[in-house]
Amino acid sequence: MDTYILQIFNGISVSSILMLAASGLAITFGLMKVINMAHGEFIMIGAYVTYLIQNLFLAYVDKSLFGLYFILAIPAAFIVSGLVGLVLEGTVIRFLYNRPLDSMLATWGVSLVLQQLARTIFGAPNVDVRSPGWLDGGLVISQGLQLPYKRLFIILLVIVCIAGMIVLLNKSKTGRRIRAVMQNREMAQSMGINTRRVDAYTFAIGSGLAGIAGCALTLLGSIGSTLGTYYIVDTFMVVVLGGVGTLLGTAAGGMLIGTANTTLEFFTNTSLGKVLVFILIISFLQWRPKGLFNISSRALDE
Amino acid sequence: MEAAHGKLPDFMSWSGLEALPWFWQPFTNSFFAIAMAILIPALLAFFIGFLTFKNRIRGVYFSILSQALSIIFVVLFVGQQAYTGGTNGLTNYKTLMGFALSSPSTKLGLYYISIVLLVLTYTLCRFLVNRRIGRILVAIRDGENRVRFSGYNPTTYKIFVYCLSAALAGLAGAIFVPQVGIISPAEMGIVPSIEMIIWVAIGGRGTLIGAVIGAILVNALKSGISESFPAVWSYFIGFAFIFVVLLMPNGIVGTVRKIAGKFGRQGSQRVAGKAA
Repeated sequence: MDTYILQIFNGISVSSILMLAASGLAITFGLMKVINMAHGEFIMIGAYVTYLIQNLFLAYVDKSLFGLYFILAIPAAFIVSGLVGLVLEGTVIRFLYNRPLDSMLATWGVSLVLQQLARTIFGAPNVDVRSPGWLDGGLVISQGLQLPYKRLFIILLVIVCIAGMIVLLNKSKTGRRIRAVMQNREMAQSMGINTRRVDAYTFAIGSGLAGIAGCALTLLGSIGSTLGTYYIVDTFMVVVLGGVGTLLGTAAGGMLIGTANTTLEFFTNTSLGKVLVFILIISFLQWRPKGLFNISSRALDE
Repeated sequence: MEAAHGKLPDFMSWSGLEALPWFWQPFTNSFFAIAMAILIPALLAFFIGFLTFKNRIRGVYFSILSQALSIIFVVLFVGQQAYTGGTNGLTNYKTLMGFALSSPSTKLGLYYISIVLLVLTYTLCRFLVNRRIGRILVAIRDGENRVRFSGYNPTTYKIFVYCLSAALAGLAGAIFVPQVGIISPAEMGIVPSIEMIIWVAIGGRGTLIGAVIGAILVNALKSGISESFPAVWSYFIGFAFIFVVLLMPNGIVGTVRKIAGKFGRQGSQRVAGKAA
């Protein structure tokens, strides 16, 4: 019984990270019809920012305050990834609206450049980030069952972020503009919304979320330049499965894929588990090609 | 099969297999193996293409789906080490149909065979493009719904193209392996697949000669640069992607044609007309 609960918990934990990484991607794709293959690299940037902040704290700040570095790292990762996203949007993405296939190639190029940059700056081998002391240990439920605090914290972080996004999208003026541009770009422009600016800050927010996901990932393992490529495919699967443009879709997709991944890995071995998950996704797409929840219009797309 | 000299290949024995699995048996005949190298990818493409195109999965979703598929295959092949050699891949090729692979004459022979196959493939594709089927394919690219409304079934044509390209890719793989000496599941992954797309994108999409030019150019550069400066290669190819997609969407061939168009007789009149 205990192992089952642990498995379900692990599934939720994995899903939460996927959800966080994928929500930025879903919104970017829903808004600008741009596939950002460099999204994984934003995760990597967030993770490396955390590493840098940890090093800063080790060098300059008192030992007893070391645990606080993580609290600082979360907004720092958000801001840095967001800024890089803003720059990327202004230089490259802006020219690629509504050209998903071209944007895929161009952003793949960007991801190659960013990965090589990370390798040049930080070196090719993986680096370790020491998790803060107050996250060690776990919540002891029963004799054989301990839920690690790290994973609980990540789940909490993801819930806070997604709640924040929902509030932003549904209750604020900014969110209303974003939704308007997502649903009908021309109409929003006619209503006086500056779509350029909306695109820019939406992309930045999406990238920032990926940065936070990277920060969370430092708790789970060592980080390296290939961190992005590892997560990018799963993230895309979540977006494709959940449907583009809605947070609900991303959350549902993330949940399904995360739990399916861990459950199937538990029953078979790791490689077969992943293969089965993908086969399930493909079969699901036969039935609903556009994903679980998507905002589709009646217009026939050429 | 020849690599094992009639015994069980190494990777199989150290993975615990006792005898050659039944589905490897027929491949001891070289001609069957070559035919299968073309047929099996085509069959796979037919199966996958049918499921995909029948459901009108297009554009973005199709690309993501194909990436997922390539990962599935990589994971599958890596996982089933007993049958496929795992991440190490298949290697230890010494002879091909009795010719020793390391001898210079065989290498030269394989080189010429590759060139002949390239010319044949190019001719075949040129032939197809000029017939009605080629025009329908162009029409599908430009407006699939209109083609459907005109009474053609785009699904059939798309599946045909998918299978044809799979068969050609299989053929290429069959020629690739004796010349390079190793094939590993990493070659099936996303990175090599996207690299192939970039060859076409750089050369000129929508043109046959562009694909050839792009592939030769990029690979020549890759060998040249990555031998001297490996780190530079990643930067170079990354920027090349961005540059080509943003500034030269029609690739080298497309840009050349555009410039040539301005210099031709009608072209200069057009330019003069605009200036006037």
